[in-house]
Amino acid sequence: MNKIYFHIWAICCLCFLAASCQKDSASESPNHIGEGGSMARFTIVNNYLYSVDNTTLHIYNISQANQPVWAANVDIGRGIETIFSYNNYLFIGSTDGMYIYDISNPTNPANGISFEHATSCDPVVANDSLAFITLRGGGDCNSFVESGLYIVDITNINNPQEIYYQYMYSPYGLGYDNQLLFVCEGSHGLSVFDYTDPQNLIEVEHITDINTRDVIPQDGNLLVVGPEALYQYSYANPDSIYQISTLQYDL
Amino acid sequence: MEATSTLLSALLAYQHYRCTTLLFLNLPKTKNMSKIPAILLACSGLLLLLVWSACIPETEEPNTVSGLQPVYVTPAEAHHIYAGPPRDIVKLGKIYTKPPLIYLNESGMGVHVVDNSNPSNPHRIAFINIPGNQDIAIKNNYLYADNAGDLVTLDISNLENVVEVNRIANLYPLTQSAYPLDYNGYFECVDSTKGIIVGWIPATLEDPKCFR
Repeated sequence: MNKIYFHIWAICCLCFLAASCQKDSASESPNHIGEGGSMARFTIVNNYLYSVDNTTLHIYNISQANQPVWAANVDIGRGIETIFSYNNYLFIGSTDGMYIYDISNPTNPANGISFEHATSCDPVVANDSLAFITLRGGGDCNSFVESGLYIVDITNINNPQEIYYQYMYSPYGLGYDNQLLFVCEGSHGLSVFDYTDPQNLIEVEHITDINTRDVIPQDGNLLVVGPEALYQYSYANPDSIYQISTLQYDL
Repeated sequence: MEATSTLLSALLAYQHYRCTTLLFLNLPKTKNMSKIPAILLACSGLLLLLVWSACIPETEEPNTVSGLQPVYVTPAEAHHIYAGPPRDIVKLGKIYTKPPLIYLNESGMGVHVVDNSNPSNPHRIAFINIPGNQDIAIKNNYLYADNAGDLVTLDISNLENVVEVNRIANLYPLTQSAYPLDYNGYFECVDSTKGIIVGWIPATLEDPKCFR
């Protein structure tokens, strides 16, 4: 009889452990943090919120999510526009270049490595070997440079090397996932490239009938925003990208 | 350019004054006035008129151009954060997502919350009013947002009752709002006594003094 009680007790213990483990893993998973587009000025990396204004990187400790605590400010430069994080690096887009910071020490970003180019508007996204940058010249960007898409090899993070350039009429935000690069081209729609060979991009799709500003590719589902609507596409099969829905902005 | 024309008109005015006095001084003495001062007088007078006429439209008639105008609110209005029913998206800003929700920023106004549980049928469920807002980020049930220069933390576990749980003043220095970002052209100069700037709207401006 005692044996049965022991078994019941043991099972209860296991259930309790399993339940608490599940809870722990849920709160530790990266899914508790959201994801922004490439034009963002906020990004969260682990327990820190990074925010850029025109000149400065502001760092807040959010270990206690409901009570951010200012941790540090870092002067970056002029014309800072966007921030993107990947692993232990911050990629900061400015009007005259891209800055890469190592945040292994989260409150003391190191080595402001810069990749400079002519003045323009430029969001940047990156993975561990490539940074993708769009430059948009023209009126609202203080710039008359030729617009386009740049790919920079960052395998050696201390020495970024431009390996690809392609003219684009009016590129805006961009995003990548699973060997696909999505580039917004304003009223010229959305281009989708295969970057398996980053020196020889292959355009796999060009959607022309939408006006686009920024993208978030996530698990085969692409969010595309423009001034008129939010569009969603499936890219689960890169050979067959198709539209899922349109959310018009007027109710 | 303006300095040059001022100098030129000052010189001409002086020349005109000299000629006129010369003329008046000479008048009682002789009726056969020298032709040279007369021509000089006429020429400088004409030039003076030209210079002045070029100036008049700028100073007296309003020089109307299209540009941007700051939107001011009181500090109390600027910090009033609340959730309300869905509304039209007028000027889309940034995009953010934490599945199953998508957040669409209404530039300078707040965020539209979209339920994307079914991507083939996304629909708006709320609008969070955050004056001056451009950016957000989310951890767990907490949403961080810029709010008229401050960093605010909102508890979004209940979208019908979004609660501000923390505020840190001066995330961004206020000088940032002294001019519209990402813009080239005329704008109405900022008057900080009018309140806190939460955004810029297109407007017809009369003789704007600020340009970038």
